Amino acid sequence: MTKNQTKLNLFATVLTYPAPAGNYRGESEENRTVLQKIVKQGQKYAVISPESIRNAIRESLILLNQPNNRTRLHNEDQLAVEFKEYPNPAKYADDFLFGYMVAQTNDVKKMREQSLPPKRDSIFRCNMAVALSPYKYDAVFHQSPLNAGKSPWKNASTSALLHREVTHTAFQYPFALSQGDCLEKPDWVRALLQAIAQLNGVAGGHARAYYEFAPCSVVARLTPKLVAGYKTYGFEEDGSFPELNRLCQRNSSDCDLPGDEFWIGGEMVRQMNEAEISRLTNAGVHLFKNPEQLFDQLANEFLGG
Amino acid sequence: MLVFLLLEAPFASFRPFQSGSYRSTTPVPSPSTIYGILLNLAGIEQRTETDKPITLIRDDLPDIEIAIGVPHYPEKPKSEIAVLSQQLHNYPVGASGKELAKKTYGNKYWIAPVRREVIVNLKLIVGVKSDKSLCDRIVQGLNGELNEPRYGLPFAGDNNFFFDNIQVLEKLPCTRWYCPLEDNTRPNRGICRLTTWINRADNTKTQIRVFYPSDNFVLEPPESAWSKLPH
Repeated sequence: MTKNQTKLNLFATVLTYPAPAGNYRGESEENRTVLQKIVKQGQKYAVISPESIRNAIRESLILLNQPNNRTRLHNEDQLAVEFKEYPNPAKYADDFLFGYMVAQTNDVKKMREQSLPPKRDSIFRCNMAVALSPYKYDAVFHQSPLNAGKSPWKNASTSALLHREVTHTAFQYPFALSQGDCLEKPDWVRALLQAIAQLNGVAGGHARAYYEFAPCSVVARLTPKLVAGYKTYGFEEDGSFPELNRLCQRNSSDCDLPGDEFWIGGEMVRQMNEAEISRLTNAGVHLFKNPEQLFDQLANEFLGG
Repeated sequence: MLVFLLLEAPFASFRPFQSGSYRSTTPVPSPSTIYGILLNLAGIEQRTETDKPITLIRDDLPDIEIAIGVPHYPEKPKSEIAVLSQQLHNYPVGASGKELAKKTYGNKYWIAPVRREVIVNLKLIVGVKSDKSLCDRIVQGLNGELNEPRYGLPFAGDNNFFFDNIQVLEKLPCTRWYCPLEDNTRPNRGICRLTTWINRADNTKTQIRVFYPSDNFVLEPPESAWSKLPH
């Protein structure tokens, strides 16, 4: 924290390892399961929604034994969730970190009787994950068998051809946290950063496509400013982050981005040449070969050790 | 005092009032949205109590004139609108899934697929005319120089979509400014309905006007591009 106790904001971009991804199917066209894509500069890129990342982090926090109010119900006839009780950000990490909204008048009344706020903004801000490599119209074909013979159940009356879009790519996604919001429950935010450092199970389709969301490389900035100030989707297809060229010593006359506000870790540091390591170290950049160590020390700096 | 800001976000969405399975975005944020962002930068709370079903807006907020435009930056990636499918938590119309309501303690208990528009590579110029003290406060807030309690971070319509960059511009790029469509204005391409003030207690008093982008890219916003808020 800076000396005048100005609150800091954390901006970070996580890059995953590349792998075949078919794990987010937003829709189907006949028997073709379609990847969600956006168009950028004339190319199509697969995307994964921030909501699915948030859901995976929520599930990870449960595995990390953080108190949770909301859980998924898997035996309803549609997607469904269940709360243990009214949302309570003082009691449950998920209500605190991800926010909620209760709008039904009767429930709002009951929450007010218990001095519980009926709505809360998410303090965890996470943007869409975008593929690093463009979608190249790859698809794989399968056939699901007819469940026949003496089988006591079957879902369909015929065998089905399956046609699944896949893309071999890494994904990058940025997230942000405001220190003022986080210091109320530092342990829960520390667990959140731990969950991000070992994230898995993002989006659907995991029975078919195992895709890890743990960081390969990370670029983070701790700053009093309200915006990141650099390209948050800054990773290029080769895993480089060209905007690092803007980092320099804080007291240099033409300082663009002060290096001592930046934390860089993972494969990009392991593969850096000596000259670049020396330039960034001189600029005060915090370098880590291992992203988990980066998140541990970043948590200490951001939340108090 | 007059200040111009450049705002850049990799993703953004500005939803007009709508329901149903297709959620559109306006091409630029409404003046009322920009007003909220500016107050957020300046660390000025615009909400009254937050423990009611409807969060109302304070009635002692500062006056700001706002102009909104889309700049011409040929070297930057082009802005486009993409459409995504997602599962959205909501309250259903009618009695669907009422047995699930009990399990979610007042939270949205129905989850249904929708298509949502998203702006990719948003770039905006915002003109701000106000007291010097407020303009200074906006810039100080942006630089993290206001030592006052604040919450959250500025975002581009959806709170998952945060800005890469908000900076004060010394020199304006050529920009198409959004102006309200007046009577007898000739037909224009790119019209949209933007909210100039929200009344959350009574939505019939929410003010919405039809805007259009100026035909040409110009440096200064035309006089009609300035909206005075609050109304």
